[in-house]
Amino acid sequence: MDAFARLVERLRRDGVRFVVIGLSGANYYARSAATLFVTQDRDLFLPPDPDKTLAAWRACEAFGLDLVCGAEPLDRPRDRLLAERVISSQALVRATDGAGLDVDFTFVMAGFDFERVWSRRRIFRVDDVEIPVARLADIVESKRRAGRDKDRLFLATHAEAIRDLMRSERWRAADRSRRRKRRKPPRKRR
Amino acid sequence: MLPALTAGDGSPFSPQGGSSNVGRAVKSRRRGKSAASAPIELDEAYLRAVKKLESLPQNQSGADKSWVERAIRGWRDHYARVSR
Repeated sequence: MDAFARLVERLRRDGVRFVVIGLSGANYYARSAATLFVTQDRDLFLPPDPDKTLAAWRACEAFGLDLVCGAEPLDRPRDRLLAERVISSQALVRATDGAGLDVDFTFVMAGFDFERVWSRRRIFRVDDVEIPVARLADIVESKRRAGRDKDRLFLATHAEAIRDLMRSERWRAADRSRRRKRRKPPRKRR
Repeated sequence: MLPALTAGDGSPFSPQGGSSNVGRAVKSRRRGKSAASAPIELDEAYLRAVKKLESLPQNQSGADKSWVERAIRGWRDHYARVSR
């Protein structure tokens, strides 16, 4: 089983709620491997719950993953107080095996609170493990709101990846508009 | 609502608390943030296409996405083997 799927299974077993967001979340909606975003980061959006944050860190440690905050190892003791501090400062904690598995635990998704994203999530299966993923529309909207250069790049690349769908949507809209015009009765001339 | 970005900026937490790198991480994150430029406006056709993509049968809850992980792993392994 994939290392990420194993971690997800453990998090779910420990009652840690999370939603996959960002590029890694968008990837689950890709139609083919050709349109996947090549990223090794997994962005996991967590609720602001210190106990469950602590449970997430412990699950990572049990898997031998290093926890990093900024450029340094996450401080010790890794207790409830530290979890509260990380949550209140909205700091990002990364779990990494140093060999390709990088999981970012975040408390921020621009424009959204956790409960809203959670209530709208999709649940996909990977190796029979259920993975909660944010709605693609929510990922796109959060990227739009964040408005950083990397978000612009994502949106432009994603639009390119689904340009055939966009084209068909444009045709459909044009067709609707033509039909509406045709339905209008001609004006009477006086 | 959570208080935004407080640690390391007049933080109420004691410096003896043993969790000093959280404030530094937040500070460096703030420094590294690219300045927000003009708001992004999305094309209506793009938004409709996103909705359409979401509504495809393969993108409903319960869908098997193991292929996504396999493909990403394949890419990763490929790039790991690349040498100059």
